[in-house]
Amino acid sequence: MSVVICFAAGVFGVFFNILNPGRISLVPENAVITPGKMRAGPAQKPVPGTAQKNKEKIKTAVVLNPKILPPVVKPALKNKTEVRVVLPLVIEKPAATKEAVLAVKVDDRTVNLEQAKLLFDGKKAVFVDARPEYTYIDKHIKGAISLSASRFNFQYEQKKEDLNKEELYVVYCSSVTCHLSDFVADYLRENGFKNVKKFTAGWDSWVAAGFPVEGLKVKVNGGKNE
Amino acid sequence: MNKLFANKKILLALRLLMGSVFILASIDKIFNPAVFSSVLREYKLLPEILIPLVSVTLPWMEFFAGLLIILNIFSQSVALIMILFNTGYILGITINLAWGLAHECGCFTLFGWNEPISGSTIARDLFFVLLCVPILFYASNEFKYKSK
Repeated sequence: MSVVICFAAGVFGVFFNILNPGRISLVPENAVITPGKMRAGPAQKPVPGTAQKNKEKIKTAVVLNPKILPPVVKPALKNKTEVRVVLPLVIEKPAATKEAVLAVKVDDRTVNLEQAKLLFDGKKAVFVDARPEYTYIDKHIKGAISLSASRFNFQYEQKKEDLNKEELYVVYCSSVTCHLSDFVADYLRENGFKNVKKFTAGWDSWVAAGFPVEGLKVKVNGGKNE
Repeated sequence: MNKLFANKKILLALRLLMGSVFILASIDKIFNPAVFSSVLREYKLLPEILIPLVSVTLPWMEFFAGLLIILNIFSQSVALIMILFNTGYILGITINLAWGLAHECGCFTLFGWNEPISGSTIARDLFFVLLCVPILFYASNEFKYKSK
């Protein structure tokens, strides 16, 4: 009977999801690869004859954007039968001058680490931490405010008076695999915020780069955060 | 001891308590499956392909389990479901704590309540398992509304 109850409830849940305004797709997002959503994915075997072309593309990408792109070619690249390549998907967007980088992102909904740092330095954006509140209290990007995905409505009600809808908001969560910032960015847009961008690389990359953070668990040592 | 747990009033109190707990735990997840799926993803225990399905079905399983046990319908079966669910949660949280992961519990998010996984969440789930044991052994497993 336990199995029957669970099955019936599960079927009901699937049908309810169709009617639910906050419904989600039952097909995971990364199962459907669209050009706009592509990120560095699992290793793929290249089509014969494309290995050299790929190598050149990768070289170009690493030169253009050395900080962001991880090592993309495994040592086995020399062996043509065992080539496994992960193509970086930002190769069409070469890194340029600081001004150009900032100009590029105007129509974009995301910012990368460099752009985020430039916005941070220029105090041109309000950083929004989409991670859980207790994580924010421990450590967060210096000056960021907390609007966590799971408590958004509650926190937003408390803070909305202080938020200027015309300002630029940069929402971040843990890393590229975290989607909390997607929700918070959408919630903000639904609430009339016109200029909301997602800092895709998120907290992990910010910390790894040694950029300014603050919080209860941040020790300050000679002006440098630990 | 057997007489104590077989007491109708105690069983009724346990059913009402566990039913309320499961219903309260499910409500927010039912209406915000997207956020719940993010929490499930943070546990890093389920394959990506299963996460959307689990996030839309699990809250309803919790809801119906809570509803049925309050109505005293198939209470023993529902108690078994609750024990299995709570055991699963305990295992999941324990594994994540052992891995050093710190993230939301995803247990009760109603009224903006939010808590991280911790020893206390494990202790609470263990307590819920213990509360379900008398229902599993002494409650009715029939389709009837009235308390035994």
